[in-house]
Amino acid sequence: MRDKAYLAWSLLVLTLSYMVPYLVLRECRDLSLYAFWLALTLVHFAVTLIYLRGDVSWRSWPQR
Amino acid sequence: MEELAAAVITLTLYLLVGTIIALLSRRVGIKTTSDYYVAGHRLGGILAAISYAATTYSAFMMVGLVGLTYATGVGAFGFEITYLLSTMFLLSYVAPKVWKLAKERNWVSPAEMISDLYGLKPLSLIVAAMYLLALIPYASAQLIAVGRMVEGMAPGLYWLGILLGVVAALIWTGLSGMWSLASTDLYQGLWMILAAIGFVVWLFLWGGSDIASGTARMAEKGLLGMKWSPLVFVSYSIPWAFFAVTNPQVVQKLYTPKDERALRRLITLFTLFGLSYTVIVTVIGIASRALTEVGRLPVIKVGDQVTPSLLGYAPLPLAVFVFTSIVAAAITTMDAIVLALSSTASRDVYQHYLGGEDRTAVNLGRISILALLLVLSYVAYLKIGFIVDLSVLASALLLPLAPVTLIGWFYGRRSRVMGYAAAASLASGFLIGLYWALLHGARKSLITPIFGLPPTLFILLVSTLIMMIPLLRR
Repeated sequence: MRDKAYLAWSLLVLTLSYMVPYLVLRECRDLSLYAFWLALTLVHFAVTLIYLRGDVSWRSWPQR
Repeated sequence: MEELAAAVITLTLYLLVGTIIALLSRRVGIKTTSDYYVAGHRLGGILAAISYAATTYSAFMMVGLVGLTYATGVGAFGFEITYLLSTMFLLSYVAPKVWKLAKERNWVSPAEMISDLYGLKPLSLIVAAMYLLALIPYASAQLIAVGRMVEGMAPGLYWLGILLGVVAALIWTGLSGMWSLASTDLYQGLWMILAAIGFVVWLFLWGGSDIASGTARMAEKGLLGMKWSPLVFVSYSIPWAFFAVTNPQVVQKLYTPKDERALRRLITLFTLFGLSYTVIVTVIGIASRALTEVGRLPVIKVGDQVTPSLLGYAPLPLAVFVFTSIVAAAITTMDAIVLALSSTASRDVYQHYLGGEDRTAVNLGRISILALLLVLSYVAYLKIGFIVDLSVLASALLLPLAPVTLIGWFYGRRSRVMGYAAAASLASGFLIGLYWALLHGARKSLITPIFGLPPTLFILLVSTLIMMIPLLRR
């Protein structure tokens, strides 16, 4: 469950990183596009840290 | 003359300290190919993390990306940050599995990993051939960058830059393999990040309020918005998004941490390094463009000239510090590529095909490092224009390895049918990339659509579809 949630979250982050610049911030006239990408990366980093600290995720790989 | 003396002193100091570090790393003792190429899976987290970062971030960052940001604005930051977002995910999601499998199955070379995952021996040779064709131009481009940096400080001494780069790589990689590589990477990685911090601090002190007013003018030209077309953005960013699973020099680094804690540290510290370095480099690019907009800097038409032009205004000690950090960035990337290619020669060819012994394989590895460096230096010395062009293509040509590697990690199960699909997938993707490059030229091929799709996306789709056929038939 934890792995699937992180997978879904990461795909959402990557989709946003490609879509928002074209759909929302294409013509922006300040540093909001830069701030968006930076904030997205920081939030993704925070979520990744939480994921990495969870013991379950690191031991739940399906057995080959 | 003063500049030349300062550059020579700093470069000598840098090479001397690096060599002492490499010599000290000999104490670990090398007995097997596993010791030599993946440090016997015994690297600490900090060493593994900075080594991973120094290998990933080449001279492209401080030269190419600064210029790209200067020319195209904030979009260049997005191009680089999508790499980091994707790599954060890939490393956190798959690296633990890869690390465990590497320890269990004693993987040393990434080509060996692919053939083991699918249980098909010839796969390692196909992968090795792809690595050679894609990475020799890329590694040569790093050596060319070292030569050009030295030539910039001392005209006519391009050859000396090549020689210094080769000697440094030979000692720092050849002595103790991954041990000397990772130790010198740590030292060089710190040099890179400290120089970048110094550079950006000086730039803001020097530029002052002109940077803010210039940024406002950039906004009027749309440089703060998304100037990159979707085709270019997708095509350029896709190979980098999968860089962590397609490039052997970084895949091999995933085998090295000593335990899970070290692997976690690799991921977190690498991300912090990568984010800081990317932000600093793109801020330098934006600030330089802002200074051009208000007339403090002349208009710079060639992107790669932005950093050298800026360094012309910087205090001499900072300029040579940054100059050496660019040399360091190039050498760390080249070292890791040479080590990864050498592991393929001694492990995949000599040991797996010819049944060679471990100790002899290590010596053969050292010889292959020397041979590879001689080839790279010859290619770099000739300064063939298309080599730099081909280096741009490297990550696109290696893109078919993304589905093959990812599916192998999750579903490989040493199935022979899957192995044949992997071979077909690799060959198709690679040949499409090569054919498109021959047809349109290396640089243009990346932005010339195939059936309306960005070419790298097309290559990825074809390779993935071929891999899916046996999976769907199950």
